[in-house]
Amino acid sequence: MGPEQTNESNSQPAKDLGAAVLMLLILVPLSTQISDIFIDPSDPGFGSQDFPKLIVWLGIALSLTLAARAIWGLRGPLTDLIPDVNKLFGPALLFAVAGFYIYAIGLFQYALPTFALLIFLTVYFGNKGWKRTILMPLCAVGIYYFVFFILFGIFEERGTILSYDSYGFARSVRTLLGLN
Amino acid sequence: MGIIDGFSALFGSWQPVFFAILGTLIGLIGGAVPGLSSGAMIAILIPVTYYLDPLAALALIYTVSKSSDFGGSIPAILFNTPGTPQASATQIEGFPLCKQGKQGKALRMAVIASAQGDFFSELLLIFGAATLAVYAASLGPPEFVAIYFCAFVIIGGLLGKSVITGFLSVILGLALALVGTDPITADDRFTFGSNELLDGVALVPVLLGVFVLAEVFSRAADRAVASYGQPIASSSRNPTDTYVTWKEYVRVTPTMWRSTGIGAAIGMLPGVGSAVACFVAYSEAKRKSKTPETWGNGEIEGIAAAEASNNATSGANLIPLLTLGIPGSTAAALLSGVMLIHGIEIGPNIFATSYDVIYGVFAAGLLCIATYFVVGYWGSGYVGALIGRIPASMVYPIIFVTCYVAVYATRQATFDMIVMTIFGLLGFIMKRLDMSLPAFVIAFILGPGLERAMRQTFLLDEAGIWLFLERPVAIAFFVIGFVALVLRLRPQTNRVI
Repeated sequence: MGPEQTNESNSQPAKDLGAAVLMLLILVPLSTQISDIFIDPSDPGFGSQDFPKLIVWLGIALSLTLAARAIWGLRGPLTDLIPDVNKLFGPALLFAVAGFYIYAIGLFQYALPTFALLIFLTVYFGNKGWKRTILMPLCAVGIYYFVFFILFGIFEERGTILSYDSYGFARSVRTLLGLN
Repeated sequence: MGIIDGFSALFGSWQPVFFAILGTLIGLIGGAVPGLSSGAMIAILIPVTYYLDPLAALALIYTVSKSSDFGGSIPAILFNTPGTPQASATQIEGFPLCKQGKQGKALRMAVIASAQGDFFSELLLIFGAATLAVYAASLGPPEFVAIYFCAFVIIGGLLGKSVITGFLSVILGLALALVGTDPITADDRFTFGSNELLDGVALVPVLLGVFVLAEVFSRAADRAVASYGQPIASSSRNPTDTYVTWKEYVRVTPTMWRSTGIGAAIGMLPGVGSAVACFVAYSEAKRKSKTPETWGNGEIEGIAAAEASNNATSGANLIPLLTLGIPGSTAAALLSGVMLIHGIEIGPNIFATSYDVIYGVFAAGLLCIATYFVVGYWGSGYVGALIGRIPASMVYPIIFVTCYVAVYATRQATFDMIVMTIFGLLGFIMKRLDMSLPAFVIAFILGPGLERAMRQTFLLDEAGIWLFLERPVAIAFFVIGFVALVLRLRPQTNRVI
């Protein structure tokens, strides 16, 4: 069996094992909370804990079955199970950037972090030139601002570092446009 | 008569009719844009529906889902890349025609077949759903437990790459739907002490995360973005190559009707979508053809079969949603999400409690078919030229940021942005592990309904689980579920269960 065949034969068991682990990572913490669910002593039927128990324990049982079958089906070196780091870099980076963006909105309000995020993303996805990396994000922020803040009238909390009255500004524009 | 009232409701104010037409155009273009699935497109629009009245909101979402089915065929014919999975069979005959310079004929055949299939399916929905709903309204909680069981078995079994990962996707959806408060005692559960989770995990961040952000994460993982470029052949100067002749139309008509029937029948089954219908209808049409050897080289009958069938699913797959409350496809699940947001009760009582809205949505569906027929018949070429200019590298940054502003717009809660990001990552991981995102979302939406039905069943009678044996309809649905499970497991006992 060549190395390629080994890789291929481990692909599905590795995915199944991953799915089982993912499920257990979510369901096991939930299972620890079931006993904390309040039971109404007068409830004569299927109690408050019964439905959650049914779902969570069924999920854990299926996950363990899948994990056992996946381990049984593994062939060749177990190093095949390690995910390709190059494939994880992009999503991990975007996840981190998203977290930072949400935090930055609290500091600078909506417009500035969104503009910066769009510049980063357009460059990350391979765009070049000032039209695509600067002008397009600027126009996009303007459109978002007009649609969501002015037309829909979304309220925005003031930022802790950069603070401006976005709602008041939007209200005056709405009045100007006859939307109020 | 219901549909007349529906048209009155639709044209009663500017909003519903405007958003029905807008939705049609968005679906038509969005269905053709590279890398943007119709599910993602609808999910992005859901926050906008918060600001619309219920009929306008549902008309927008419904028409986007309908016209994107046809929109996906435009790049399939012009660029050999289907814009949506359901346009894959269209590509087999459409692109060879394009290479011969007959893209006008191919696009017009596609729009004629799409509109015909869709129209029949819509009529089935309008006149069939209400009739079935009258019967479904008499069903009690035990029957609904059986129906949910049957739906989850079919959806989990068919939508997952393997049965067990499909079921795990369903269970994950049900488990996360439990987060929040108990529906009877109102005590908190699975909140881990978080006040923000007392109302449960909000639907919009889940939909946007799973259907849209997960797609952007996937593209970021592959660092691959698709663009179509320009059509490979210039259009023929022969006038008969640019439209469908009467002779050709008469020749393909039996195939179109047969494929419409196949699509409508498949569309009514939960979990079996238009991507399956188009290949079944295409294969059946090829099998019945007197000249099967010409297929694959640009046979318009193949386009007619594929397009009539995939569009015939769009109305039919709302029948389980409107009669039983079971969304059988991603689009139906998203539509049911919008119904929940607007406080519309899904299930058989919908025809009594939201009569005007539902018939208004049906009328919007008919308006959508007429609109995309007109735009598609005379403007598909322009749509093709337009999408050829859209760089996909710009699409992902825009939809990523749109998700954040849209989810914030729904409740002005930063917490929803965090939830959406987490579900985006979860959706990305699930996709990589071959788990089913539609099955997960459908279970997440239906979870509270299943719990309510189960608890009501056990409150009804002290007989408990034996009560099901006294209910023939419940037994029938349990049997259907078990048979579907056995049939799904049988051909793959030697490979993946």
